[in-house]
Amino acid sequence: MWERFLSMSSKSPLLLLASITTWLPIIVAVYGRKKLTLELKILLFYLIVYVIFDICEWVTAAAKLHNAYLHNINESVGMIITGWLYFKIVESSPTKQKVVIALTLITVLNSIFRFSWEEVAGYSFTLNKAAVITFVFLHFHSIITEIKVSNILTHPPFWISAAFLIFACGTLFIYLFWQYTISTTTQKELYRLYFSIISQTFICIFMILLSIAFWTSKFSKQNVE
Amino acid sequence: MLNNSNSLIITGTAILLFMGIGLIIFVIIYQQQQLKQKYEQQKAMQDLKNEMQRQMLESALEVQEVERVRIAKDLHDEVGAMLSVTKMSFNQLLRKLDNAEDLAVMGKQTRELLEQSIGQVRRISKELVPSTLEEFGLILSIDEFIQKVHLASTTAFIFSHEGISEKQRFDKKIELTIYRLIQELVNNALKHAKAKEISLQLSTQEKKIFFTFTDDGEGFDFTAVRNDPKRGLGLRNMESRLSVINGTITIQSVVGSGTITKIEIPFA
Repeated sequence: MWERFLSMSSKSPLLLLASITTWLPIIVAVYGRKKLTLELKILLFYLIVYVIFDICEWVTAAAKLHNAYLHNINESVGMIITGWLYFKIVESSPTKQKVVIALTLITVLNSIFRFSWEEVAGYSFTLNKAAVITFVFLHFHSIITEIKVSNILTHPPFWISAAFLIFACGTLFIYLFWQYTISTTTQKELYRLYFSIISQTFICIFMILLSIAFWTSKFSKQNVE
Repeated sequence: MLNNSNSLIITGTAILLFMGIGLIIFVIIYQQQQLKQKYEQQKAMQDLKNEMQRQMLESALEVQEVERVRIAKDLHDEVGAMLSVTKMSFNQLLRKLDNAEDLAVMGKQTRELLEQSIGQVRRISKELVPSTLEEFGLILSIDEFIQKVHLASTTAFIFSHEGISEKQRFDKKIELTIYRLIQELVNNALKHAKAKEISLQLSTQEKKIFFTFTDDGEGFDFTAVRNDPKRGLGLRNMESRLSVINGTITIQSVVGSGTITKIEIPFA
């Protein structure tokens, strides 16, 4: 199993790098744990769940076990936590909160009905990414209309949204054409390009941006009116 | 077919990513602009509020001066006149009491009291409205004021006015403010600091009046007095008066080493 793990890591170093990068925001969060707001605590919870699933995926892959279902469950649980996170982020607007709840429910129900043990649930993922982009739009709308933040670059929720937006935009098309990019029938070369390179690169970017969000938490109190 | 799908996915991802990054940049720039506008509006509101406060203070000071003039006039014209008439009438009465020695002594004492009262009324009337200031200007009125104080106390005064002639006149508000500030500063130096020597330096440079008041008194803890609502009233009054004419005041004081007060006032 260890040899298989080393073989996978050497063939696709980005896979390993993405998994290592996942620890970066967690380390930053633990380092500045005293200053974490509720939003950042939810985000930390999201990352811990993500890491647990990631470890499970590595173990099952090393044991040559099928693990697409883990990826699907991870995505659905992640979507629930993301909905909870944005419910807190847009709490100044009850209407936006209702939209967040509705979209979270739709995506979770869709994930349940379209759940697959064998394949990555591409369409569910696409819908999830679209929902996340909508959450980010709602948050950005709040930022530019409420004008409560004195320096947006040191405002953790802004970096959270930037991370989610770039990750969702970067992977939406890959999941929309999942049969062509990441299904079990996909050509090895293409799978390697879309899953092992592009997706993992966006995971790295996502984690780095989330690390910035945790790092800026020390300015968050003096930054909001 | 494969190439077409590939390019569609790559292009779609690139476009979406470009839009995502564009949106993030837009939010940063737009939010900063909105924030800038908000701060500018807040600043404009604050300036307006300050200006209104300044005008209200100016009106209050004007009303105070008008009231001083009225009281001074009443004292001088009515109380003073009544006392003078009483004195004349009393003199006549005293002449008729020449023979009664005891009564004459009492009468003389009463006349002296009346003379003192007349003198007091004149002094209060003059202090309320510095008529010398209005008629002869700042330099002569300060000169007159410090001479009077010097006579009443043992404190020595040094007054210099570089570049300002005795006849030079400034805006009425500026002259009155400086005069009232000097009254307050001299009063503080004598009453609280027990100063033995006071120096007043007045000069002008580039459309600004510079006034430096130095005393060798006991000094005081400026921060403590400034923050004490009971003791800092005089200081705040001086600041308020100066704010009306856009002047500034700086006070340097060390306990036991006297006080230096520097005032700057712009004039047209």
